[in-house]
Amino acid sequence: MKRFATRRSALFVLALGLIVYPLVVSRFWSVTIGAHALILGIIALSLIFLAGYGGMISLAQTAIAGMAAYAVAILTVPRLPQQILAIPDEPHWPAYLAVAAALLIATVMGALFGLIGVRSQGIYLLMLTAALGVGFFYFAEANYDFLGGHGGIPEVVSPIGYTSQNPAVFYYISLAAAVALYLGVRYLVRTPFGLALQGIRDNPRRMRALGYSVGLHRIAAFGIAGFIAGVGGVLTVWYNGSISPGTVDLTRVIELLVIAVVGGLIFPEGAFVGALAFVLVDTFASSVPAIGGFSFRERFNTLIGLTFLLVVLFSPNGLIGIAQDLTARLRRRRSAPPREPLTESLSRVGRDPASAHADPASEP
Amino acid sequence: MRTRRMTLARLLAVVFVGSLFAGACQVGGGGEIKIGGLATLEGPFAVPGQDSFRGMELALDEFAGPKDADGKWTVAGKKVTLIKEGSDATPDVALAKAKKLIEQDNVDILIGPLSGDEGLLAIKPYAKQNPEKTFLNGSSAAQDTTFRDPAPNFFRFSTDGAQWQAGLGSYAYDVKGYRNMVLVAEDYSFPYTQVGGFMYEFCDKGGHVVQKFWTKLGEKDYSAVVSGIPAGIDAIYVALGGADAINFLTQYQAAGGTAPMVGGSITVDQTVLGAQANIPEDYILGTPSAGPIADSNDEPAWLAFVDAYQKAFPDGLPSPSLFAHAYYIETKAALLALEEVNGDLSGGQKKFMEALSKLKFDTPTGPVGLDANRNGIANQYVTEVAKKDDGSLYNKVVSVTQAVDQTLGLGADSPYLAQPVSRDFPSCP
Repeated sequence: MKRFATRRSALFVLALGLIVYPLVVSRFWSVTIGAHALILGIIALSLIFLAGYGGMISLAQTAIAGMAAYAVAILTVPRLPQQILAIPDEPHWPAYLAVAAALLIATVMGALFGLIGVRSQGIYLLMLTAALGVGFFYFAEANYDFLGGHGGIPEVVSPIGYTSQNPAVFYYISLAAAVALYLGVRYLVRTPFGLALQGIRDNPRRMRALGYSVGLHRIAAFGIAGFIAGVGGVLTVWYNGSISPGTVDLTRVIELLVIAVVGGLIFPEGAFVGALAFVLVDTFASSVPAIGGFSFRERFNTLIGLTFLLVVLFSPNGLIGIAQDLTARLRRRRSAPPREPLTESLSRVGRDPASAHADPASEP
Repeated sequence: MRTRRMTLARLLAVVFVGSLFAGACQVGGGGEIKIGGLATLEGPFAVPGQDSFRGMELALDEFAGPKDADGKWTVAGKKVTLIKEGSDATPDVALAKAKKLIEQDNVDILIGPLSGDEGLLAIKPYAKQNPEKTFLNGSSAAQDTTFRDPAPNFFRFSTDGAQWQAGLGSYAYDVKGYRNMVLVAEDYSFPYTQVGGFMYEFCDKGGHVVQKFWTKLGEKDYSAVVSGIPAGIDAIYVALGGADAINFLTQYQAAGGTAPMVGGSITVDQTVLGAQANIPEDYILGTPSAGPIADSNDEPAWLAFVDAYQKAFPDGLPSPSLFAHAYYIETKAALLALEEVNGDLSGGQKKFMEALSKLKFDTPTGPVGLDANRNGIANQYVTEVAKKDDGSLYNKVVSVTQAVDQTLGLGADSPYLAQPVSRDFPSCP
């Protein structure tokens, strides 16, 4: 009972903090750090949903977010750049229609990618989705008629105007989307569908024997992940105010994987913790003073890489895993309560996601 | 399950409170002037990016120097700090870094970015959202960063990519006698602008660009382009950056191509002229190109600039690149205008911006001033590849076009400027 109360108060403090946050900090902290981390967290959430509950690591989530972003840009921008000649009149849809269309496209494309990758697993699925993701980058880079090529589509203004001029509003939109999707994922994994998906992750052969359609579940999971990534994509294009292939290039694909792994590949919360950590390091690496001629400004990728390496080496479950270890240790010292089944299930599922998920040997 | 959730909530709370504190600890302004420098330190333009910062530091040392023990300069009695940020040449990262400089580091003046799309897609719209700050261009040279729908607080002394080609179209037509050409260029805003600048003059004289080949930045395989180049053309206009140019020319040579080349501003540089490029010398000799600087310029101002650069940066490039030059003159402009308003940046920097728009000064390549869109009017160089006595190749200055404006003297209502430069415009097949 006491524990329950502590948990409730901690959640309350967190919720209050998240709500008050943009009112007490500068626009930089609410948009460029806060909203940006939430948006990256949403896209990472789509990856973590697939990886943590479906056992499928997809590198195509950045591309799907990019598709939603391009859709919003094409449908809402009042003045398309000169290069876009194949569209006779600017559609100039209202934002809500454009967003709905973008999310539909993201969901359908997610499911389609799932259909393509449904029979692949592990490293093969990784390569396949990476190929699809990078393929979309090259498509965007080369398509001048609709996507504007290398320069992309400039001056996409969100319905609330420029995001850095309405920092609090944009932050709240991002926060609302993030909370809704996070709770949605938490809910979904407890539904029969979510449980079946986790069953498929752990032993697809047995699930198939039980009469579940493994392929359909996987495709549906990809579709849902596509929707989540699509929400992230819509917010991305508003956040940046433009969209170009640079938003979906290989660097961004890898960054997303880093976020998910640093946060903890099997926890939905990890997406947001990882994204916040990444945004902070990415933003402030250049402010770290040079150490003996080694300037982090020019080597911030090295810093991110080192962080990644350390996290993966010392805590395969990312930052969330570290926090769990710490609290577990604290608790043991304090009162030594009976170890809950949680720890067991974690050591089974969590310690080594790769082996716990979809064991290739169990596949026919 | 309960433990886990609780932990997470706590962790998030801690992270969150931490960020709150970090947010609260922002450094105040004071009587100090902060200049933000934005160039590319990752990706395809990492080397030019480093040279850009050399240009900035050179200007600061010269006009606000010497640097004190804290690494600060002084202008009009006020301390000046330089905060550098590096992008990777994508608009997204350029925007994120610009936001960090303006909103977090509270810089008063932002100088950058380096590449065309960063300027057009990221910095110009962002400048419009921050009318109380001053943005000076770096070396970004897309036409519409200033020509159409400009931001009132964005200044470009370094001129655009079309201006850089001034004199080249006429030179190819009149002196070289080329009439029918094809072009090979990378497919984004900077090469569009370069192609535009070349074609304004070449088409106006009566020349024909019979076919255009647009290639991806960083393309390795030019076989489709090489086999598509029609027979019977007089020359090829090539607007490709260093490595791309080498790849194209090598493959064109290997396929037996013989049509001579006319080069863009970053095409015929030392990487192409150096011995390591497997391109026959007699093909390269006599290739004309044009740009805002010329290595072999022997005017005293340029020689003094090269000398200062070499002294300050023994580990820099052999001679300052056009990127170092562009950042140098933008930084110099900012410092001169600061001197003029006595370091007064109050009132939304109105006085400072006004001083900038009226500023006229001498650069290592001659005088520069701004037009009504706050875009530079400056001298441009036409060069031709020649051979030194020691056998090495260099770009010899053949002519200087004085005071080139953004329309290349055509006037803003010329049909050549009726549309933005793009893949299909201008056109004279």
